[in-house]
Amino acid sequence: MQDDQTLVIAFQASSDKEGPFTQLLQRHQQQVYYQVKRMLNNHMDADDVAQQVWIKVWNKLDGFKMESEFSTWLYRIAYNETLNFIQKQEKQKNINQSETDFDFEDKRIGSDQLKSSQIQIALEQAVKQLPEKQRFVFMLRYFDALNYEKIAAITGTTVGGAKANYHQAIKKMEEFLKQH
Amino acid sequence: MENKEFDTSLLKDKALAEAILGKENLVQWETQQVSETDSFFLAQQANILKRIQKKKAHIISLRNLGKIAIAASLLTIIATTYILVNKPTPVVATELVKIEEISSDEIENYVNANELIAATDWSSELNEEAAIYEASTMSSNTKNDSNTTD
Repeated sequence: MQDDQTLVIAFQASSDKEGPFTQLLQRHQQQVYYQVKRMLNNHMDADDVAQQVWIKVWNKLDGFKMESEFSTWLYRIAYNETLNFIQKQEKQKNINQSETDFDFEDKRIGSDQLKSSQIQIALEQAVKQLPEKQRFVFMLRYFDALNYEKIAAITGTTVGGAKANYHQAIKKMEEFLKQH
Repeated sequence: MENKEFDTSLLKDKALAEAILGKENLVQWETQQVSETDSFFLAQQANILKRIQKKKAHIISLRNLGKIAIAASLLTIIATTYILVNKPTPVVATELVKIEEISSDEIENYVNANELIAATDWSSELNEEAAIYEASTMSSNTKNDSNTTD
């Protein structure tokens, strides 16, 4: 099985780009999707964003200089696309205003995930109230088990910053759970 | 060694989160998140490739359109320059008029209308012409006289 770098070179060199691209897609598709889904907590939105990430990868892969690992570059695109989506959603929320939007969100969560317990709901809320960067760092560290160097490269911060974000995220979630 | 260090720091971080948030809760939360079937990913893959194909086709058609547009504008430029360069000079229809057909009144009017010609001093012109004629006849006469005396 070819590694990412070989596939990237094959993509950049050949006119038939679909072969190497499909292999990269198959290899990283699930991780990209779940990375986005953990952040957005919604299947449909995560699907849209994940697809957008791969379209971007297709468009930009010719210009990728391999200064970092392909996966780091890919997850950085996923991170940026997710942040863009959240920002757009927040803008939309501000336009539409609170009540109807709140109802919609409640329904969305309700239909998307079956909550097993109150703690689960509280945990989800605790994750949700985190600032985007802290939420992302927590997810990448805890669930994807990435090292801080990679997390720092993905989120555009320093290793120390990433470590701090992880610990702050846990602290904030703890405080939230204590209050609720 | 590095991996071991990495593993222990990761385990420490995980343990910290689990101690505060509860391992079971985190596992349950993750199970809910990671719940898509293989068919979903196959469908997503097909969608992505379809969208890329569409984009590719769009780019190709735009490229072709671009080429056609360039060719069309070049042709237009060539055609316009060709037309401008080879523009036929307007032929003014001229009729040959014999001087006998023009009445003296018309000639007089034309001369009067034309300042340059009208300003000509015809008498002095005639005198000059006469003087030249006289001089030429005089010289021919003297030549004849000298011939006869010889």
